Amino acid sequence: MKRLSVLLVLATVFAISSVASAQEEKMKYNEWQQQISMYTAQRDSLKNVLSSLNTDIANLKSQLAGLDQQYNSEMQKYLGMLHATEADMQSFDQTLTNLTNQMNNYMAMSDQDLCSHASDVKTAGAEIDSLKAMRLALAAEFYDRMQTLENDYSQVAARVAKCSQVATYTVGTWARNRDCLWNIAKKSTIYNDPWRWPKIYIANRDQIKNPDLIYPKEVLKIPANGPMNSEEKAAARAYYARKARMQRAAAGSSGS
Amino acid sequence: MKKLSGAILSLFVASVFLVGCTKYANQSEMQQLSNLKSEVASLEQQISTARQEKASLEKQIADKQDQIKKVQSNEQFLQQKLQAAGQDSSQSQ
Repeated sequence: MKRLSVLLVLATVFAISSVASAQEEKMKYNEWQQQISMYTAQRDSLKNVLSSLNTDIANLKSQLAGLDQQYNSEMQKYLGMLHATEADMQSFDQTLTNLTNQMNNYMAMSDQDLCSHASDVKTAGAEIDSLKAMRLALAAEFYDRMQTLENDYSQVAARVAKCSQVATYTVGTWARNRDCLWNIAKKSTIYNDPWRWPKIYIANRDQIKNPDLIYPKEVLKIPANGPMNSEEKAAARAYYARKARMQRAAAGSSGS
Repeated sequence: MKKLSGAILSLFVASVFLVGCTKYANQSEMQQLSNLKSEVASLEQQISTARQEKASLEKQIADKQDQIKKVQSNEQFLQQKLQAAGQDSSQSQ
């Protein structure tokens, strides 16, 4: 009975331990040995690869440091040739950009609007001359842009120059040319708008006493085209009011 | 009674064979294997990082070489323009 109890206990213990060990991750020893060998070889190989990469990285960093020095040296030499600093270059770039934008705006304006900006154009021209006088204007970064700016300014300046020129028109005869202020203003080479005759009248007040009376060979100043100003409009109102009074007076006297 | 003893004995012997004959790696050996796997994974990660750093440095070097060439080209351009304008680069403005 005693022996039976002992055997029973031993069997139970072994049964429990076998169940317990079956639940743990069990790897056969020879399989473990194979895995250890494989991973050890892999680790050693990867260490060599990493060591080689770290050597390459160190060399590349050294090369990059050398190139940084070379670049700084070349830049110093270049700036020395330009008699400028990097800040000077940035300032020049900004000024050039601003002037270019300004010229583009002027080129897009009508002649009338451009003439009202004549003094601004002249100021811009002086700024462009200042830039041209600097060595930076010859730098590769700015050279083409300076050329374009100068060309654009030439065009704008030529248009502004015409603002001060006064166009003229020599009056022909009524018989041949049908010249009166209305018809002159109507011409496509003048205003292409007969209602703008007061502009010619006001510009020639020294010659024209009565807008209905102009004479052959009179040389009339032709102001630049554009909307009528207040003086010209007032002259037109006064003329038509006087015309209306004369017509009423003529109608009254013929009726009586 | 004898039969019962015999059955229990057989059970005991069977248990011994089932549990005790095959050799398995013990806990510390399994830990060793686990550590080795972790080390390999870490090295692979480090290599990936190192390769990225190497590629970045190579690109930086290429960019810097281009910048140097650009500055040298600009120097030549300026020298030509100064000569055309009748100026020497050493003269002051």
